[in-house]
Amino acid sequence: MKRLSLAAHLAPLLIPFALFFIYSLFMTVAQSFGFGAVSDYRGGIFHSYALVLKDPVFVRNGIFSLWISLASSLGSILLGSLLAWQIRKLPGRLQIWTSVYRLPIILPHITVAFLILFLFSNRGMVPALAYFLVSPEAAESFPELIYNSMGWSIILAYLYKEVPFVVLMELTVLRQIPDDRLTTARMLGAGSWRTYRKVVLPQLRTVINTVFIILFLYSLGAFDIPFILGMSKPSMLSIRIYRLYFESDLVNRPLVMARLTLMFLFSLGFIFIYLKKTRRQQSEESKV
Amino acid sequence: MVNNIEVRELTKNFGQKKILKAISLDIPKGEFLSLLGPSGSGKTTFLKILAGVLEADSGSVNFPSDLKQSPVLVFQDFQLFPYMSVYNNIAFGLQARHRPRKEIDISVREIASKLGILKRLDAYPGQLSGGEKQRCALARALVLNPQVLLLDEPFANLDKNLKNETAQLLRRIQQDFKLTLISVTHDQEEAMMLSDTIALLIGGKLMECGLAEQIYHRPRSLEAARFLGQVNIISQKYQQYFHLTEQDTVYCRPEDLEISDNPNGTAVIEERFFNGRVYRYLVKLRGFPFEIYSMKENLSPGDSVDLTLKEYFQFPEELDQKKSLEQIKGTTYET
Repeated sequence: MKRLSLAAHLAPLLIPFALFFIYSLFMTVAQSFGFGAVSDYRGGIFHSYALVLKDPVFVRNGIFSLWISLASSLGSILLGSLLAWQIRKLPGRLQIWTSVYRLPIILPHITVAFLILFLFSNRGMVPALAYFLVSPEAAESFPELIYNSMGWSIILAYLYKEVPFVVLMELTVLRQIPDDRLTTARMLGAGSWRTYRKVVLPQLRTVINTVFIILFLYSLGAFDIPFILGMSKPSMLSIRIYRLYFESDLVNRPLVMARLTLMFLFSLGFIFIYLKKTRRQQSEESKV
Repeated sequence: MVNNIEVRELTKNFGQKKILKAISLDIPKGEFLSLLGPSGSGKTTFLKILAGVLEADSGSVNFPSDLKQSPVLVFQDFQLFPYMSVYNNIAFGLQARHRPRKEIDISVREIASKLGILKRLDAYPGQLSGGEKQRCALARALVLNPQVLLLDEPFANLDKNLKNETAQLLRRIQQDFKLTLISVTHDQEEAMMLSDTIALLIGGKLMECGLAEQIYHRPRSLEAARFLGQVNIISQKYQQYFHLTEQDTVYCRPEDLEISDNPNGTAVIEERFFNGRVYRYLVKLRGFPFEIYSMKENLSPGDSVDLTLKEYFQFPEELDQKKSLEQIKGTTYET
């Protein structure tokens, strides 16, 4: 009875959400099998999947997307954790001034992309400052960050957006750790690093995992920042899919949908591994 | 060569608020001292300064010159590391000192066995009872072999039955490890149960320091006396009744007054309570109230009784003050 009443309460929210999700998924998978999109499709059901998986560009794009997602989410976790810990260690009266770190959270992704462009392109502000403040040679030797084959500008933009998010999430947990616990660790002889690693980090583990998954999956599928800051070869999967969908023949539609389905399956696998991992942690934490 | 812990003119302010006001105190090596005072009197601040986790604004703390390990403070809520097992909590300090793994293992098991938590080494703090948590926190401190152990409100998180057991444990630990143990509490009963010597801290000022009995029966000020327990004031008006010949007001504890049944007695019982151990009588003598603790159970409100004073005290500071005032008056008169 209880379950029924709970389901009834959640239905207005769940039904439209589920319908939308199921419809989108169904249409994507169906079109990847060749149904619905192309009238004279002659391949087998898995024909487009076979083509996509054999396509070296898809593999290259996939690896590039994975690199961008991993580097930006791991970098954000690392820098964000460092910043959050430094803020936590500040005296209470100073902490209020640090709320400025939240600013990038409210900036739209596209704004951040242009900001990076203005700052780090060849004629951007940073090389210009290097020219005036250091030397013309310094400006010339400034590394090519925009449209770089390693995607540094994309990673930089994601870091700018995501580090504050990590700080925000971690600070909530860090502020729950009593000062006396940190004092105890110090009194027992632990230095700052040991205190962080042994006392603080285990408490942050859950939030770090959750934030990592969110950031990783977001940057894997995001479009706006790679569109402005990325180059065409290698490009991220999202850009390739966009181009194939809007800029190529309708005959390629099953290939686009197969790519989308594969991305979805990858995310699903990723979430599955994550859930398995957190389940193990949850059982550990029940003891805690 | 310093043999005691010497505290000299220790002062600490938080903003405009004076927390410690020039505290000077000598704590002999191997002593079990209870720092007693109401909430907000600066006890924990004093303890934190001794532990070196807080800096005093002025004054000094000198430890015995043969002190090898700095004092360890055990916080009121133990501050165990929740994501570590009891074993790792205890081993934490030794691991931070990069001791060999085998040595750590032997030390952890030895101390855990002494404190009766050997079987709980694999448990996490969240799975321990209040008493076990305290033992774990004590073991974590004692494994480092400190000569000075500081305890912040060691009974605060324990139920009444555990308090006695813990008091015995702490006394045993102090003797076994030859520790100088300084404990902070706001409960005078706890302080007396724990230690022989008590330092009374009120409003950031050290009111007195001495043997528990002496402080209770011979306090130096009314404020201190009242913090340690109920005080009856016997002004000059009532001294004749008690056959006293003192020039000034005298004071006594409720147990220093004896009550005896007398239908023609001058005092009348107003109220009677039983607190589980003794009867507490509220008696009025010519309209002035007195509180008396007695084992007598056959008296009721409205009964007339006689009161006998067994013991009393006066405050030397009050007497000194009066004497110097009289001297000033005398000098003025003479000139």
